[in-house]
Amino acid sequence: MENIVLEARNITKRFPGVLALSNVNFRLVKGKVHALMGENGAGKSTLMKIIAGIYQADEGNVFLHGEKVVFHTPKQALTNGISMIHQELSPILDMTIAENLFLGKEFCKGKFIDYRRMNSEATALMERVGVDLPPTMLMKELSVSQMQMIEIAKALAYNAEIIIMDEPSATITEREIANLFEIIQGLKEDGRCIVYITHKMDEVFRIADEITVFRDGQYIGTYDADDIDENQLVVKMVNRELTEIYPKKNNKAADEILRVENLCQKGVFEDISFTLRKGEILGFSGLMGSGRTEVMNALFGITHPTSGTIYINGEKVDKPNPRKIISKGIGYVTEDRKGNGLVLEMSVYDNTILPSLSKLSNRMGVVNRRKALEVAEEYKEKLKIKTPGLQQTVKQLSGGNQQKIVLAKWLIQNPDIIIFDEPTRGIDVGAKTEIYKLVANLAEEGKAIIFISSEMPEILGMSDRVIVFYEGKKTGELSIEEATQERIMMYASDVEKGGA
Amino acid sequence: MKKRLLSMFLVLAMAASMLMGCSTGTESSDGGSSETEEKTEKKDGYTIGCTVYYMTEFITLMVEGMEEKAKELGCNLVMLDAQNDAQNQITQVENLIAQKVDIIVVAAVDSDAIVPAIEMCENAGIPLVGVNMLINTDQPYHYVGPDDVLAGELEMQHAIDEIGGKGNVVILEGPIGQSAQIQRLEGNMNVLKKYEGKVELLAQQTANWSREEALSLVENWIETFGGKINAVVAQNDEMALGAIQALEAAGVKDKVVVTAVDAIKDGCNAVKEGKLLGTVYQDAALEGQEAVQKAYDVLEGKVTEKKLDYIDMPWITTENVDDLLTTIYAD
Amino acid sequence: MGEKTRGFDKKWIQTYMLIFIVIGLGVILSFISSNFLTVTNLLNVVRQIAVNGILAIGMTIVCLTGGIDLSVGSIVAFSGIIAAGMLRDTGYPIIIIVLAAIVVGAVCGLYNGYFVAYWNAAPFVVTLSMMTIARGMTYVYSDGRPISNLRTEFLTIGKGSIAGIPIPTLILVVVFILGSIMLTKLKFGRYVYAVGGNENAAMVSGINVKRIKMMVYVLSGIACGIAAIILTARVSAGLPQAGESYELDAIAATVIGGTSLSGGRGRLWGTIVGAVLLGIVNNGLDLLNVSSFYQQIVKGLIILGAILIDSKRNS
Repeated sequence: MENIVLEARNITKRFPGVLALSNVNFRLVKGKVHALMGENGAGKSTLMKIIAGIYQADEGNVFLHGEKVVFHTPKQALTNGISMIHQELSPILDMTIAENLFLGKEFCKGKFIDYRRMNSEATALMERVGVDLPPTMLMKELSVSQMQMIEIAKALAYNAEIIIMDEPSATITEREIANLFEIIQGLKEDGRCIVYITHKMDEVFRIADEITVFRDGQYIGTYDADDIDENQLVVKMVNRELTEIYPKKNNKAADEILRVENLCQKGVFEDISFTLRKGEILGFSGLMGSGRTEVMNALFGITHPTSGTIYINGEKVDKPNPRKIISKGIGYVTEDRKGNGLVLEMSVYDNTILPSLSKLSNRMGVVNRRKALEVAEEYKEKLKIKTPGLQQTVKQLSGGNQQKIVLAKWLIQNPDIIIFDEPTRGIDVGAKTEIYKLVANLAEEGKAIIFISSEMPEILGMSDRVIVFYEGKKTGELSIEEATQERIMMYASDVEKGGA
Repeated sequence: MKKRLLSMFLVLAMAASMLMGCSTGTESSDGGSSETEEKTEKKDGYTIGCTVYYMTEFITLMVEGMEEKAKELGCNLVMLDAQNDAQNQITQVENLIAQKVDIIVVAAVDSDAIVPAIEMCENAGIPLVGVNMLINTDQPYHYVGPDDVLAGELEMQHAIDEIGGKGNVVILEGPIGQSAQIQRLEGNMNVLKKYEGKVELLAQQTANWSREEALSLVENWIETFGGKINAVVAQNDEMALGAIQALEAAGVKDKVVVTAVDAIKDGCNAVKEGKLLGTVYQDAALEGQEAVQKAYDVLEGKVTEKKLDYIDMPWITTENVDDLLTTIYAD
Repeated sequence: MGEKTRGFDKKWIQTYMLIFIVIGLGVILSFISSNFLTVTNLLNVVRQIAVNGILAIGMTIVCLTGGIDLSVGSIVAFSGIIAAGMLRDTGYPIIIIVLAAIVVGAVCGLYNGYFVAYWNAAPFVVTLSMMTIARGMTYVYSDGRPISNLRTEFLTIGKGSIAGIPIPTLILVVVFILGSIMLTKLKFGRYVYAVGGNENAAMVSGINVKRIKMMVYVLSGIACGIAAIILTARVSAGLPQAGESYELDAIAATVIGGTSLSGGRGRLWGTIVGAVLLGIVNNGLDLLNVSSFYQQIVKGLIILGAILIDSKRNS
């Protein structure tokens, strides 16, 4: 019994119009990794934010070492040994690693900051999480995974007893995940408690000792990781059997529609050539930052390539910009929904019809509202977007529904080529399957699809052909028959050249 | 939701209490008479509406004079500040008319922009008295104020006399376009014209009534003209004081004459110390008193002819500066 | 179900809270000043808010894209002085002079918009530069002196009324209707909100973000031109110092009306109600003979109150 470090009892939390948590329980045992699972909106993050002092519970209590505690600020939680690493990292980019690590508790000599001590302490901390970087490096020069490691080091700086990680693996690559797990293992042996929030089934079984499942703000249960298997867990999470994650595909590749030749962007990627055919799903694989997204941004005209040519339907595209590319029949479901996919303050209706407004308005620029509403409604039905109404602002919808709105935006345009960049990131299992089905159907209708993903099973499950990137170069191209996880991994880490 | 409603109500209440609090505050300050209706019923309890351009030190003194006089005559004074915004002043005249005051006294933000107010008052049957700032119209109107042209003439004449009728002068102007600047400059130029060929105007530039701006401006002039400057004619005391600082810093104060207009306390002290040759005194309190007196006389029918009344503007030098320093500027 | 209806109520109340406040303030004022609730006075108020209302409409459109326009006051002075100069020096019909003032405003706006949109310069800085340039050009053109003795037909724009409604008010209403149509019925309006809400998403959606950003400043400039005509006619002179600090009142009305300065959220009618609120407060405090020192404090508290309500709404 003494092993219980933290316990939350009968927690209830309401947000305007939503019951986020209903009477849930949760406990943490010393020296264990506790996975928190559930679909998006199940209440995992909300509970953790209550524990970390970001939100306050409407009802119920939190006990730390048997004593009732109420944290009003993250700072209070932190000084009591609870640290939370957020899904969306927010370091101060123009400050150094050391400054970020000790933000709010700088070492001082008198009134002056003792940089020497701060830097040496920072180096020591980073060593503990296996990062070898100069402490004076600016945060903005770091990769996402490195930033994450710094966040973990920061938790150690506070000597946190409980470290909460909210989907730490969502934005980092396989290899970095392995590194992360090693560190978690070390922390665990140190006697700390880790809460690990994730959607990824395989990770849970690799790392977790205990698993707690939430569904729709309800506590479903806590299980020993050895006593439960993947299928049982999915059933607990979604309350339905997932017979088949990836749909059966009946698409056939036809004529070439897109050809990219020797596309270069100095310092970002070089010499990228590939072709795409109608009715084909072309998988783009590779590690984070290997240049996949950057190539797509250049193709779509968001950034400007230094050299190379793009042919759409055999026609050369001069000086691409998004407007021109859209008019040539390309749609781009971007990686970063919140960054450049949606206008979060706007309604479902406004977002859905945004790229189509020109087609939906007359010569004077007056929008035909009835027609626009019809179209938005049609696609809402078609993609099964779950929203109280078309006038709902999209920021209040779940990730899966947001992603569908981004998709709807482009489908209305009826493009011939659709680029999907990490279309299933951060959305729950049920919504993922729906997205897969949609993509397969589009290919079947004869659309050409570029499908970018960091998740290997997704690439293998969806693609007809796979192109692998490594550090801004195309390192391999495989047909689906030749592609295996191992071979893709080899190209993606450039272990071995060629050999196709 | 309750909380939110409450917070809104609080904001509202805050604003409302502010309104009421202030209005009662000012009413109690105007000496005895408490209820607005009562005042208008009283036979000689005229309500004088007044809008001034901005609460400068001068205007504050003038307003004190007006309040004093109003109290003496048993009148009620409504005082508004247009904050240097010509449109706002028109708005305030409209508001005073809506309030049905008996007479309106205006210290104009701008001599031109106030012209529509004359017509507005005429239509409403409310007489208008200008104070301190002339109104740029051909029609006759009631006015009490300084003769800024005369002030400009005075300071230039004394400066030129001091340097022996020949040499080089520079002029520090007020904000371009303000009637005080325009009229004082007109006065400056009237005198300069008489000395054509003998007195040269090296430079004229605005320092916006400001001591700091004048300081750097004169520093630059000393740099440019070296020892050629014989006199600095400043259109107000503040700028003259800035000029004196610059001249002292350059070690040439002894060779340069400075004159000004306004006779504020700092200016008088500088006169007493011999740094400022002289300054034209505009008696703010007297001006305010006379304006209210004139308004009262207009209402009583004692004054019928619309004309400009200039108040006396004595030239203040070491000889008479103590009169001011021991009276209105006594600590 | 209960949750849902309550949610609806709340939204409704928040949306119209501002109007309640204005009405509430009006009721309070009519109790403490017998002169407030008279036809003449109410007509005064609506005439008085015309200039700020029109400027605030332009400002709102700029703020919706996440920008800000600090140059409106100076542009008003410049357009106004040009109009006054043309009235003095030429015999052109009034309509030409009105158009000229609007064109001058639009050109100044184009300067703002061009550098903000195509040079990615910070709106605060670009419009600050326009603010001093326009003021300087005003002084150069006018030699620092007011231009007066304008034609009486022109002055009618400021003083006259049609069917009892002051002409400045009618112009405000027309500008408001045009602005509302632009923001709600035209695709341009959707683009403005999209650019302010998420510039990247707007670009990826194929919107010509730069052009939209430039256009909003041009519109603000046009609003300045219109406001300049009213102002010049009202004070019957072109004043070099006109419009000083008007940008602050325009921003105040915009913010009180619930428009977010970070862009993407706000409504034009809110801005108009904000302008009315400021106008009523100004008028009420004048009628009550409240010293201008207190007036400024009250104004500041109202702006603070509006921001507090807004941040509550978003929390």
